[in-house]
Order: sequence, then C-alpha cells, then structure tokens
Amino acid sequence: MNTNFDAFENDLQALRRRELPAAWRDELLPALKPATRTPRWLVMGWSMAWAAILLMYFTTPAEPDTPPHSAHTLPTLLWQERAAMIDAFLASN
Amino acid sequence: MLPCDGITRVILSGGGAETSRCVFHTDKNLAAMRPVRETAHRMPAAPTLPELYDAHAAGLFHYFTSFTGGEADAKDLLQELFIKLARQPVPAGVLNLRAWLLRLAHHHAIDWLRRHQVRRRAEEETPPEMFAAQDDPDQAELARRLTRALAILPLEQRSVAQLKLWDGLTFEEIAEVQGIPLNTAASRYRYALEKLRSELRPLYDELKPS
Repeated sequence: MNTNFDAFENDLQALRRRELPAAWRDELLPALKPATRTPRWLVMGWSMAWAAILLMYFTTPAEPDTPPHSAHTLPTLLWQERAAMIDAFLASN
Repeated sequence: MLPCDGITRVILSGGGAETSRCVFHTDKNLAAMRPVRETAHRMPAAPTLPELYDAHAAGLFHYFTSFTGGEADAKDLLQELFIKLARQPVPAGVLNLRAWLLRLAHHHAIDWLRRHQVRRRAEEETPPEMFAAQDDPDQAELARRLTRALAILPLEQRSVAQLKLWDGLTFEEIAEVQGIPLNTAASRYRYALEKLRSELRPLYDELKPS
C-alpha cells in the first residue's frame, strides 16, 4: 500500500488486474525465435583471419620482382653455352 | 521506490555511494533468494523471453488496452512487442526493466494509433474486463464500474492512471515512459483521479460509509 495515496487511491490500487489466459503464453512464446548471438571466440577468430588476409594482400606486391637480366634465364644460358660448345667443336674440326 | 514484481531490487555499493537496480528472478531461484548485496561487476544475465512474459506481459497488455480499447488489438500489440524483443534483446545496463519495457510499449502503441487512426473508435469501444474476478460482490461491482469509468477517460489520462496505480511507476518514470514533462504527468493523473472519484462516488460512498 502506497503511503502517498489517499484511501480512495489505495482501494483502487488494491484491485488486482486480470491475468492473461494461459493459452496466450503457449500461443505466443513458441512462435518467437530468440536472436542468436555469435560466440565471442568465433567473432575474434574471424576478425583475426580477415586482418591477416588483408595484411597479406596489401603487403604483397602485385607481381613478383623480375631479376635484373630477365632475358638470361637458366634454359637460355644453357642453350647459349651448348651452342658455343658446338661452335667450338665445329671450328676445331 | 518502484515495486518489483518478478524482479528483485539489488543494492550496488562502490566508491562510498549506493545505487539500486532491479534484477530479474525466476520462480526457480526465488526460493534461494536472500537479501543480496552484490558488487557492480556482477551483472545479471539478460532475462529470457518466457521470463519477460511471465513478469511483464499482463502489465503491458493492460497498458496496450488503454490505447486500443479492445482486447484483440491489445493482444496483437503484445505479440508484436515480443517479436521485437526476440529480435532485439534487452540491452545490457537497463536499470529499470519495467519502465524500459513500458517505454517500448508506449512507442509501439503510438505507432499503432498513427497507423490505424482509431483513437476516437478506441475511446468509444466497450472496454474489456480489466480486473481479476473478485470474491466479494461489492469489490466485483467496484471493479466493473472502475473498468467503465476508466474507459470514458481521455487516453492520456487513462494511460497515466494505469501506470501510476497498477504499474507502480513514479511521476518521473511516467514522464520518461511517455516522453512528457513531469508536471504534465502529475496533472493528467490528478484529472484522471478526479473523474474516477466523481464517477465512482455513489458506489464508493455506499461501500465505504465514513
């Protein structure tokens, strides 16, 4: 009983309000799907994975560094060496 | 201090000052409930939807009824509110859960009024029974007449009277729930009470001869 209320207010307040029918509860609650929260460890894991991917993306050059003498690749050098040996052989004969 | 149905007021102490907040409890842990002093770092778990329903659905329904005038619309509003709560749970740090829910309900009811433009009809509709069945025939008659008297009040006064008398909110809390100045909340309640007195006086004087 509220001491700030007069007798009339106390009498009104003392009247209990009607409860809701139990069937409403059974009808309403099963239809609700509580919002699922993603576990914190999963959020952290995804964040770190994405951070790593972005870091690698921005720190890796678009194309691999080309060697200073790109024309002289190993097969080419071998071929030139072999050609020189053949030339020397032919010249000596 | 706001009465807490389904919730327990917990005293928080720290830094020399004490504040209080309402913590939800269920029937299961009610038996084990003792006078509790908690420190601020022990936050209560957010109430589940069934817990919210058991503690607050009836109050929210009656508040909606003060806007709709009819039971079916109030039930629809209650259902929509709980769908909203399922999608967007109660945020952490809500100190007064009842006031928070009533504020949400108030905004929802105002949206509904705007959508349906039924204010006049709502005030003219036959009101659903608001009070529980009374064993005492005099009390039953008082409850019946009070339901009718509430129904003829303007919406603003009826909703404030409900929040004050049966939801136990202070004028400050009512002002916050409805987004109105404190003095407006108090004057609306005063006007509502005067009209209820006037409507119920013959019966009341008969029941309570002084």
